[in-house]
Amino acid sequence: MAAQAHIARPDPHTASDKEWGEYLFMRKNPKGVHFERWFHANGCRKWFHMARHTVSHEILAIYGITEPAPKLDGGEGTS
Amino acid sequence: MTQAFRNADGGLIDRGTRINFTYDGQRYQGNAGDTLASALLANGVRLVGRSFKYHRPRGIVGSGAEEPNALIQLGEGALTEPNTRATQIELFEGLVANSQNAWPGVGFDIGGINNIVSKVIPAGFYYKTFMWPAKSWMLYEKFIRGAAGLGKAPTEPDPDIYEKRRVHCDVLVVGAGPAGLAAARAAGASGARIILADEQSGFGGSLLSSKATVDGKSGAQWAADVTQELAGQEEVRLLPRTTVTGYYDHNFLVAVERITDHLPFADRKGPRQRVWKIRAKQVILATGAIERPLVFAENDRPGVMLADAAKTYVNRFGARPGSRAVVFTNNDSAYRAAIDAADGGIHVVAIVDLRAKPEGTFVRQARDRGIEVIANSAITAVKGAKQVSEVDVMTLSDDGTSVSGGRRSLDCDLVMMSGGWNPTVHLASQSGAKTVWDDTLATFLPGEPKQAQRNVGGVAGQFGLAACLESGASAGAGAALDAGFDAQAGKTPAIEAGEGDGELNLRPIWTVPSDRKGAKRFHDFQNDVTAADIALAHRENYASVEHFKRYTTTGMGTDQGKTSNVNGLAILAELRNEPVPSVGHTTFRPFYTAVTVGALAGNDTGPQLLDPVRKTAMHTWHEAHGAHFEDVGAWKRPYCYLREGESVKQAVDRETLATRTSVAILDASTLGKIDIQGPDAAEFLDRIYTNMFSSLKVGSCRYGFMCKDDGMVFDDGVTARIGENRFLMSTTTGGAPNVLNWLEEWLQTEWTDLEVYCTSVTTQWAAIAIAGPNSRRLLSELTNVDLSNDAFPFMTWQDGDVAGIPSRIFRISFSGETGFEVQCPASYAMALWRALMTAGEKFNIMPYGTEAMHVLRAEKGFVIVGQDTDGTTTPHDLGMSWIVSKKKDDFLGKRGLARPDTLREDRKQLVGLITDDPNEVIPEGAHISPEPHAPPPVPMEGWVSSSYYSPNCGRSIALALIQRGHERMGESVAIPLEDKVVRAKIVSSVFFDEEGERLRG
Amino acid sequence: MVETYLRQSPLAHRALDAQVSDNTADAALVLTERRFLAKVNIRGKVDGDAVKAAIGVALPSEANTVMEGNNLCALWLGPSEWLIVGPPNAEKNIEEALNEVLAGASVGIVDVTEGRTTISVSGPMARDVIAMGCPLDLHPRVFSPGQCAQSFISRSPILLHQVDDSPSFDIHIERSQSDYLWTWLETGGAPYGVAVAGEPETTNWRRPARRKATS
Repeated sequence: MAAQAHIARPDPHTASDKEWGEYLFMRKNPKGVHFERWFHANGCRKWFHMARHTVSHEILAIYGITEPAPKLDGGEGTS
Repeated sequence: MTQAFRNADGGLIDRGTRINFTYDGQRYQGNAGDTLASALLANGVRLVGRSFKYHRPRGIVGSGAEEPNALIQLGEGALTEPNTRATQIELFEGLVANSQNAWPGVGFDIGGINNIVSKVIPAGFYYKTFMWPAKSWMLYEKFIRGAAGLGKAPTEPDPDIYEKRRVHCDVLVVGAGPAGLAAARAAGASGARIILADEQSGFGGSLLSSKATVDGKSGAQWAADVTQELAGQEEVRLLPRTTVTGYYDHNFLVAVERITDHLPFADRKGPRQRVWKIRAKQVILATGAIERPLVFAENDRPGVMLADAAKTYVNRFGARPGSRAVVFTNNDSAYRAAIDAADGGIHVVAIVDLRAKPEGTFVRQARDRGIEVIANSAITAVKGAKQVSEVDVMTLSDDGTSVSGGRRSLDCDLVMMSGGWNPTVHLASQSGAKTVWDDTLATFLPGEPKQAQRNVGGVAGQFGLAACLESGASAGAGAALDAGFDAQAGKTPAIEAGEGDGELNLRPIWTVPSDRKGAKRFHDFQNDVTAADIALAHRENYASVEHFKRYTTTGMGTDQGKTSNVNGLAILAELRNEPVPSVGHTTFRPFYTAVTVGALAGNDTGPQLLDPVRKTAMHTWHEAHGAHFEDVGAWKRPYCYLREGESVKQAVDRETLATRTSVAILDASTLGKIDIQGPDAAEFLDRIYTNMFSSLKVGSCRYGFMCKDDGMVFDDGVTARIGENRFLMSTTTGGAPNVLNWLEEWLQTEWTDLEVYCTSVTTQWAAIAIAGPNSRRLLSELTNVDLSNDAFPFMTWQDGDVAGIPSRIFRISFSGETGFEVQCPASYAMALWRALMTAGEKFNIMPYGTEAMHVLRAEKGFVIVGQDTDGTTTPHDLGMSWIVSKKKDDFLGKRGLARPDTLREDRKQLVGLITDDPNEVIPEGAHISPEPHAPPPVPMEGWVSSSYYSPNCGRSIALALIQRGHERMGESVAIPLEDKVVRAKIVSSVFFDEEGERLRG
Repeated sequence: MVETYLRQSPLAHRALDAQVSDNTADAALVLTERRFLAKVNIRGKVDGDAVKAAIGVALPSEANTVMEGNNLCALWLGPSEWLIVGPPNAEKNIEEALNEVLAGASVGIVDVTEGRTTISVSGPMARDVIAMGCPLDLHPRVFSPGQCAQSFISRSPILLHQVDDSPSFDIHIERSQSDYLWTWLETGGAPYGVAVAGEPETTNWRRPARRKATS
């Protein structure tokens, strides 16, 4: 189970329709380093972050679900 | 028949052990150690098949996985297997093999007429001719496939068993030729966990067919000694007869081991084949190289064979593929083969060399032996129908594009060809490495590894034995080191009798010229693709490599172009006037060779094991009482209980009526149950559900909707408050795992401040729904709990013993009847179920299944999430705005429900439908159209989500999602079906007991 | 007290008692259902010392390891999640003891005894048969007695615990899938020889004597 990471849920009281729509539906699909959220379904049931190269499928970093993205070559860290 | 072409000595076969086999109905003898191909050659069989398109006679070309022609239908009946290669079938007593692609037989083949009319069947012929009218393709296809006649799949179930196994290792070595053996030996000595896999029965690879000596022993003996040394090491796993067929991410590889295929049937026990799923820290590819044919006129005649294959048959099997050989080459390696052939009793008539001045070590040796070398020349024609009888040789022009001078005819029955070598880069390429073109070898090399992987030996373009042994040992040690073991390459074995330096001195002539116009020059034997076909594809602008492949079908056969790909690409490159690497090649995909489907399935077949099956605690009772099961997720749930002589519909009607008349019970154990605890549990549920849960009293329960944050209904269920900080949530059967994951997701990723703990208790508690006017009377016979309406109101729960079993009783109902749900520890559920059935006898109790449950709830207009919703349905669309809290500050879906799209007035809304004909049951999923007779695309305004015959209403009922449905009550709508248009009226979605008196009664 | 004869384990319909073999030594794979083992799940911010004092076993902090004590096993399931496994009928007492000592703490304590059963797998082919469907590396260098892991066999989620190096494993499996898993294990082991063994003896669990807190 993987999805783009570091998408903050906007304040539902102040978010415009456009902002809410982007939060719900707009996802990146980069060629290269991608920061993702994963869920260890067949194990410890923890959500965690993974930086993964979408071409080589190389796993570049694993970090906690509340941690910001690390700076990596080929991709920009976001928090 | 006698083995007329078997040498009296030499090779690795056991002449003392005779093996009887049958080929195309005729009985033959071979020897232990033979392949079917070598045994056929030893018996003088040359013609082994007809080609795919033109039905031309074909003979054995190769000696291994590359074989394009000798396709065999192996075995009979349920055990038959099509498209196997004679070159890879080990001979066993009683083997029965048949040639393919010829009817009535290879000798006389009716389809051979295609060869005579071949001028009108060029590349792309089928595409061009049979694609219009599109409908007729089905008709044409039947004849085309019939005539093409690749092997036949068995019609009976596969009686064999197969196995899958996961395995982990430090170093996987693929290929046990000299390089692979050296690698495994160096790595194995370190104590690392090694797997060494090779597709052949014995380890040694090219050493098994070579005359070289290593460390003073024959190559085969050295290989056997190293194998024995490896077998003695605890952490080394040797996998002979194992083809590594796929190389995936993170050094995950798949191999297929053929465990019993080489044994006589009587000796076969246990799994026939085993799929190994290998996770390797380090991978060493020692996959070798495959010799490349030359593309020359009529090069497909039986008797035209790869030079190395001929050498293998002579050296390893003592079988002569012919008596008089002409060798045709563009490089040095065929000279070695020629010398070995001559040593093996084949008269080598001449070596025809495309090069102007061949002069390597082996060239000199051949000349010294008196073998005539005809340099700067080409074979321009091959004569003979079912076997080569003669070749024509002419002088090559300087640029290699034409021939001239006198035509010299050479009498022969064997042509040994070599166009160079193609490293077996398949696995390396699958692993993600980009191949690189090597000009000297005129072929693709594996390129820079993308994973923890090394290439050694032939696959790396090393054709000298010394280089193979050295690079193997060094890679083996390096890989073990990288895997964390102390390893050394050790001393490289000494090589004595010359294998030369491995240099090819190759002159690529991709299309060998001929003076004979129209003579077919095949580059892909299996798919019958000629150099002219490539030119045609190019002329018609199918010049991109992907288009070219599909247009000509090059490389698309069961051999996946192992002998044809590079030749085809190079010819295309010449036509495009570009270097080969800029033409590129199509992707190498798993599997390297075809894999039996049974092996991939392993044990996971049949009704028991195809998929995990989930059973409730009462399952065996259901089985014993006529349950007709349906699959709900992985669960087996009784759809209805069939009585003697009853149809499914009769059973469902009976159960539906009984529930509303007296009492019936349902096994509701499969509904998801989640224990939710923690100081913030109530707050958490307020955010998860659209309605309020913090206001729920301990002892009560409430029906709730969950939405995704876009406002769309995602799951529903009744949640009970067990304690101040503890809830028991129920979910749909199919949604249970998703809901638990959903809860975890929000707790772990967004609301990390909430202290809430969720645990699945779906199967901790079994659940029995008791429904019907007599449900209270029944239950009160088994419990002391006061079940009266005042003491136990609707939507509350109480703990209490039922039939002596500590249980939790819920006053809830999904049928619209007075009802209870009793949950008890699962291991007591069978006892409770039986107690209810016994106590209920006086009420004529019966069990009801999921279909009666569906009918009952539809009569009441209760929705099923996932059936009456499709991920684009809001609570408002369902007419359930009452369940969406207006008080709560936020909940998942609140903001989504305020988006313009979710507020649109023309959204599809849930309504009831009653058909004009009360007996007409509309199929679920049927569309509703404002203009049912309009030409396609017919406009649609909604669809039928639930539809049943309701015995309680005495007519059919349906639920549907229709645009603006809520404001269209009483309107007539049309439902176009395949053969008619059904008309129905929009009504309220509640069909029965609209006031809900029975529910609360 | 509820009549125990009413209680049926998830594999009761297989009548395994009648299949118990006298000689399991020759079998490549030996299977046993360990019925009704007590299982209590703990999640949250747990005071490990308090747990140890209350039930007599410490909670492992190292991933995928098992602590043993007082006839109980504590299996690591995840960061801040454990499963206490004990002898039959101990679950209520364990739950009670934990609730007592962790009262007011931010924890979730759930009895999951009924939701799972345990299939014991041993014999020389035990690792190989499990590896037919399980992606874990069970090589002794990697996985040894005292280790546990959540994973899957074929497509069923499991909790695997290596009990000893004979080798013997306890597979805790969700009850509804236990029949499937039993068939699956039996089928995988069939070519090599499968035997059913009787259940091992278990010792009743007793709550440790309460000691006065020393500071």
